[in-house]
Amino acid sequence: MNILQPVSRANQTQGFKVPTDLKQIGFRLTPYLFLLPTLGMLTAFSLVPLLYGFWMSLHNINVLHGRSEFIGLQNYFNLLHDPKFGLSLLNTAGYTLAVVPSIVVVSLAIAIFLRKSTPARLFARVGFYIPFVLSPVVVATSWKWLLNEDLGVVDGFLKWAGIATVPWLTDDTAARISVVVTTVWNLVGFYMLMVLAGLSQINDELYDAARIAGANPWQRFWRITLPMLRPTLLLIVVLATIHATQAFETILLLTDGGPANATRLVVQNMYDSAFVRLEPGYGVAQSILLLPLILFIAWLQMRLFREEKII
Amino acid sequence: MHDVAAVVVCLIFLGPVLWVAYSAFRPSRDLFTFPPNLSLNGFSLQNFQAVFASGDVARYAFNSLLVAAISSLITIIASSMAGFALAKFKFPGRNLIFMVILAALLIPLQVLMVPVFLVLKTLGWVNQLIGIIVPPAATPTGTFMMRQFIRGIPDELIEAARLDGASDWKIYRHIILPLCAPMSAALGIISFTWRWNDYLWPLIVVNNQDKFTLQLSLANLVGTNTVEWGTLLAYAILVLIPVLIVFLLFQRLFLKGQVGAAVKG
Repeated sequence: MNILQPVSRANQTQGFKVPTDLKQIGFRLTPYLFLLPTLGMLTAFSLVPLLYGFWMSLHNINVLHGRSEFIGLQNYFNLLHDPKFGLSLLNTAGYTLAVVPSIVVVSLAIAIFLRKSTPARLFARVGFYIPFVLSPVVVATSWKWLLNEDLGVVDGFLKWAGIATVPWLTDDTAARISVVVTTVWNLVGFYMLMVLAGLSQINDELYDAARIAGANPWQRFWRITLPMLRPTLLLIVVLATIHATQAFETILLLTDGGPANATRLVVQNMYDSAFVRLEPGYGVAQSILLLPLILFIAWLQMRLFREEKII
Repeated sequence: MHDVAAVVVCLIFLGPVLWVAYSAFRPSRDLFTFPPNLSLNGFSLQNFQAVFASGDVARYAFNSLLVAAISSLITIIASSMAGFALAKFKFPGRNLIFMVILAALLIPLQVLMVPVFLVLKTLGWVNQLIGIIVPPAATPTGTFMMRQFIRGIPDELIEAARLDGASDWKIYRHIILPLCAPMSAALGIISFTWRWNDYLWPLIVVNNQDKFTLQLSLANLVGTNTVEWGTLLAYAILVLIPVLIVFLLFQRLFLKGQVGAAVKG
């Protein structure tokens, strides 16, 4: 009953009875009881899996027989020589480097375009947000249909315009581009809102003053809008990086990591090792290897949240 | 002029969805014509009939509904309880617990999917709907939103009730929860759409057809090459319509920008 200690001491010095009745103890325990459901789910689905994951990564687990054998760091050593894992890391890096700047530029452009709150532009904001509420399955189905090599509307249009068609999902480079475009289309509405929130914080008088001083729109953008949006854009970069490094479901359905693993990202590689090739220990070792990076990004995110007073 | 451009650009941006919706109502034989045939006599519901012939769609819809509803309910209850504790009680370790909750919840489920799956297996929740319902129910967004909101409830209300001899549970049940109703509704609506849209958990947890959700069954059909595109598109439209309606009805909630939503639903 450590928790009670300070209370009883304080009471004693004031000459009160040491609280022994259950109500006092209940009062002290109450907050913990209220936290129990959340902490319970957190323990079961975050903490235990994390520890279990460490254990698993040091074992060779035979799923069919339910046996496991300690193999030390063998899974980690194997990863270093696994070209598929290396490729998936490289792909994830490339994908992130393409997705994050695109999201920043496109969301900024749309938000500035829709800045004034006229009815038409409020309507357009809702429209731009719609892809973000669609499920990964719906997004992948739609884009797979649009980009279909023989029947898709994109190639249909190219054919009609007399330009050569592109095998969007079966050529390495084209598939990588398709995957990036789909992701940006899917997420950009959400980031547009963040930019709009940032824009609404900028004092209009700054623009008036600049206009009087003879600054053209381009100068006003570089000298006022962009510097004032710096914290917002920083947050967007962090969140979009998290989005990009976790990408999995849409791409799994859109290209299945193909052609020839050109769009295989890290999460898919993990999923594949664990659930398709049934080597869970090997799959988990990949997560653990990435954990420092993930924790770093999470830490960065918490700091930014604090600065922006979101927490 | 600017306004017209905004709407036009927006419609072009939504082109993929509009094109899917248009194609879903075309008979399969003229699905692939370009430029598109816009006449009304090409309009057909045959794709939607094919969807219902493709499997037990009513069952999948029921599963999706059940999963999304119960999971959201758990989110509301757990988040409001945690939010109450974090906002209105002083206790040792409060800040630490808050930080741990946030940090742990920021670790994406994707990264932990393999060990979480094995935890579910130990619990006997594999191939059960409960295995899809519970793991995603604890969300950082929920804890944030509730803590923030409950902070705004005046302490005097709670003190007064306490002087009247109300237990903390009664205070939660009869004061906090009713006052949180608008926030609970908001959280419930948003989390309903997340859970309705979930694909990763059903994919990992469920194998049996009778436990499929709509998302999983559509994804399964996309994977097989024997299914007509018209059917897939009609199915996609059916799956997205509930979410679209909820979104359009409550767009203000969504457009407030739930930052946590970006990270983990």
